[in-house]
Amino acid sequence: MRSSPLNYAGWSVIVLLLLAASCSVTRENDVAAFLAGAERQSESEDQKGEIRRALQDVLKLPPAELRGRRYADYQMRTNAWTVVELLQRYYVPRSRAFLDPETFYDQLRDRRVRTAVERHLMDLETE
Amino acid sequence: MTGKCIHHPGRSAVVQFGTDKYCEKCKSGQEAAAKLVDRHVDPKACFVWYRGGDKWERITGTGCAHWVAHEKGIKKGARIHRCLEGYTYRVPDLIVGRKAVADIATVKVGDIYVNPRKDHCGLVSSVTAVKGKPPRIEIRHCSSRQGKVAKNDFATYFHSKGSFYR
Repeated sequence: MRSSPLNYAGWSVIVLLLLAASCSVTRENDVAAFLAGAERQSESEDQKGEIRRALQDVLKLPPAELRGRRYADYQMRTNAWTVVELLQRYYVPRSRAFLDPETFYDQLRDRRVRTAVERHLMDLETE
Repeated sequence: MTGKCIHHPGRSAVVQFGTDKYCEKCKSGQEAAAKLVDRHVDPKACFVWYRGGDKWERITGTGCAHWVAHEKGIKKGARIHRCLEGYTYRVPDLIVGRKAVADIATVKVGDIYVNPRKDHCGLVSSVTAVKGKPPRIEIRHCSSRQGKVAKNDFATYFHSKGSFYR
């Protein structure tokens, strides 16, 4: 009897390739995981203004430029925090999620990040 | 101390927070992370969480709800939304199951203050009756803006806006 062109090993390779493709499409994005549904904690209008500025920069600035940006801290001392530090100071994630300064800037073009940032901006605008 | 580390079952426990025990490496990580907690946050030692891979970090957010939770002994919410000692650090979790005080004239010391957007909170520390006017209410809160646990007037600092929960 002739063996099938797609034997067990062949099918295994196909299944693995499909799984790998599926994983790359739905791969976790740390920034989106941190921001989606996160609770903002802030005390003053000055602080909210700085948060708004940082979120707008996430949407519009190239990663290299954003990496060089600094924002005021809680007491409005200028040029104190990177955007990563600012988000960590004001947002509490819905589930256990962490921001890594090393990978943060490479993950910002993901649609899920932009959606989460736009929602937080909308929250700030409607207050 | 007997028992094993909650994160590293192969390691002996040397410190305990609540019912959870931790190994020497976790203890060092907790202490290092606590040193990075912002100066206004109180208490600091428990405002850290485990990231995995032997890494500990300070909890994110301002810590306003965390201070209130410690003062009031509130341990509501998912385990991941509570500090090392088990106290809540999210504002909505603080007021779950509590009733809003309908009339400002009946606000009492110990009521929880939450601002209109529910992104900041504190505790009523004093109430002074003023004839013919709303009472003068003082709020004690973990203030990131002022860099400390501060007392501020509800009418001036908080512009008489927000809700009280009991």
